[in-house]
Amino acid sequence: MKWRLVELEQHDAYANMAIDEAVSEGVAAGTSQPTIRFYTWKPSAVSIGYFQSLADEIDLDACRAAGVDWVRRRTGGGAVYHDELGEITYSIIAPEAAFPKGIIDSYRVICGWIIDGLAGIGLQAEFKPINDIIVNGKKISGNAQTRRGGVLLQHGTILYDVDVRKMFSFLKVGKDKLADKMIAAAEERVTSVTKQCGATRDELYGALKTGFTSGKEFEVGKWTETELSRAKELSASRYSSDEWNSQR
Amino acid sequence: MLCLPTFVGGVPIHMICRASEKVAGGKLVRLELEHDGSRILRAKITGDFFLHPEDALGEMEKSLAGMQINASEPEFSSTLAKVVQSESAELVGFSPEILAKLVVNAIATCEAGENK
Repeated sequence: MKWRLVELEQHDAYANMAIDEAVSEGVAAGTSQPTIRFYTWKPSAVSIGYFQSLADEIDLDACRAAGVDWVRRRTGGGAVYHDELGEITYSIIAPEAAFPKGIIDSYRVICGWIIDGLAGIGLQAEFKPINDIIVNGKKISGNAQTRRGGVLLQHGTILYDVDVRKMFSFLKVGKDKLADKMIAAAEERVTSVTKQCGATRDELYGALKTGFTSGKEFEVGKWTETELSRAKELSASRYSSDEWNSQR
Repeated sequence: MLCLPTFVGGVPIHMICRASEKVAGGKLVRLELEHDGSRILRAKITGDFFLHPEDALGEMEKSLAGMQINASEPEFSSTLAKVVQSESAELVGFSPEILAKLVVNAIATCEAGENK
């Protein structure tokens, strides 16, 4: 299987989720190559899991005031604050048959690529089921997966620099009198590359690329016109719509 | 857990009950139920869990609608498990048993009159 690597791009939340779906459709139809992509979010955004309630999870007023977007993912899992400069996100989109049938087993395979990447900047990371990667006992990466139409999509974030207080300001947790305690507790549970080593964001990205592509046949590629056109359509009709984002 | 009555002309007609649980080693599951004192009218399940295929959740919610609110926890669990089986669904981070427990807890909270 020959992979396409689409190098680090920056999009808004709706386009990021729409590209994942457009490429998933292409892989299902046999018109898109299995794809590894890296991206960031501009403006910063909060994504929620497919089964989460928008109202329960996101402080929409705080997001509006800060110019932070929000979007519902196609994947399950929890709410994530994607800081424009604080993380690198990846997506893997490929035929389901290329991965173990077991959900946790397939997380383990793809998370292994992240772990290999983090090793490249000197971090010893480990997979923590169900869907996390930890360094020194603290979460540095969260991941989420869906399988539809014979295609596996897994996306996830690798935290480069995390500001827990800022993160919580956009989520519904941490708004009560225990906020300071919750922030302290979260700081005990979450870490980032900057907290663990002196690697730059470029060095992290380079190491992740190596971790994801090592041992694979791949070529650096671009989106096709069909993919871009479909992504634009999905961004407008689905991912930026209240109907989609407020469905639960 | 939370339980809120809805009113028409000052008379409660439906009860909206909620329960949630962070599953040990798993995910957070929230359940919202509406019932009329006899039967469940609708159910909404939310949380940070995973479920493949995702569409199975709607079928699980539908399976609870119409059930007697005094059904037992094993009956709720069995109903949900049948949907899981028929949809060939895989639940990650929660289970039919957890959901059944939440249904019973949510209804019991309403009956206890909490948060009215």
